[in-house]
Amino acid sequence: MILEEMFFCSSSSSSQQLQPFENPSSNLLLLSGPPSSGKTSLLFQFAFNVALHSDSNNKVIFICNRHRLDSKPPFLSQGIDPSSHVFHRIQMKYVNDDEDIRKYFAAFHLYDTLPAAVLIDDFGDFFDNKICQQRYSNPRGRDMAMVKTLALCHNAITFANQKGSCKVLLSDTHTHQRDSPRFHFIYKKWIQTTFTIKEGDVSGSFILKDRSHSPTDHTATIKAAAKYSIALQYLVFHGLVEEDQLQYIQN
Amino acid sequence: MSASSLVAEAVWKEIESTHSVNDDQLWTLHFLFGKNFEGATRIVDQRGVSKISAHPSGRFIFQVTGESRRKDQYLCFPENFCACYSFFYDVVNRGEQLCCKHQLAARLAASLGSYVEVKVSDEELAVLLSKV
Repeated sequence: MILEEMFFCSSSSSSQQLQPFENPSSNLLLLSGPPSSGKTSLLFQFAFNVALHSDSNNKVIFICNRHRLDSKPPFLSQGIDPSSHVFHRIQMKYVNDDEDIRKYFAAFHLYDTLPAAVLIDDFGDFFDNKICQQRYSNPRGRDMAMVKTLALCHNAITFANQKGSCKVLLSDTHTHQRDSPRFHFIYKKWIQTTFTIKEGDVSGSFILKDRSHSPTDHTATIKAAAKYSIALQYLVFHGLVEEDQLQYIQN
Repeated sequence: MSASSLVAEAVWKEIESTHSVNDDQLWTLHFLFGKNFEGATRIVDQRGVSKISAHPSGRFIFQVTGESRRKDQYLCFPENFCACYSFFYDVVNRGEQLCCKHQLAARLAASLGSYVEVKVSDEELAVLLSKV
């Protein structure tokens, strides 16, 4: 699936179906980047693109913390009409903590129509260290809660894809400005495709990289990259990085 | 995927296709998983694996009885999760094992069809899964 079709409003995404993933393990995806790099905006644009191309019965579920979304709402691509009917197919689900997320995926098989995609913004932030430690009486409580949640999520998506097509995209933050997500050792057990964001050479510009890795290997290969920026309250796509330039953005 | 995982996957597929296991396959799995596989075979022999299936959705989870005297029961997705401590510490955290013995027991029982079938409603399964 092309980055442009997934995360940006492009000429190609308005005229053709989003490509299905070749690999069932790619139905669970991670978008990881530094703070204030437009992750929520990219996630929402992905929601819009999936809703635009999926059956009108299949909603896209956007899971987030209401307070956080209200204080930092997403920016959309310039070509999108804010009154578009497509937004009616995006259903906001506000949750407070990791237990709410687990309950949602535990009951996934109860829904009459399964969603075309589920997006969870700032996934890692739903896991409060202190609460998880108390719940599991374990200093590694947060990690345990994440493991359980990702396993349930994976199981729900595997179940959904036996009946139709459903993708889950999570977003999370880098730690210490390194090019890997927090809790990387946990994520890599369940997620083989990670999109990482790196700050560009100009302030406010970013590079989005599509990297795939083996669940048993630490190496990752960058398959594609795109440049974008957040300008004048819009998500602006600046084009794909040429193949011969990919080697220069490996890190 | 690692070479070990790919080999294991090929063996599981063979066992699933015939619903039987031969000495070569047992030897290969024992070579790959060691003591964990020994424990898994004991659990399967003692009918310690239940497949909890929901109706009408068909979604399911395995419940595996441990070998300790307490006979703890662990909810388990054979491919990538078990509620036991070994899964969290040895598989996810340290990466020393590909999977725990309860996952292996569930996979072996599923491949051979030698599990206890438990039918529940979709609502009951949702409650059970939320307690994972």
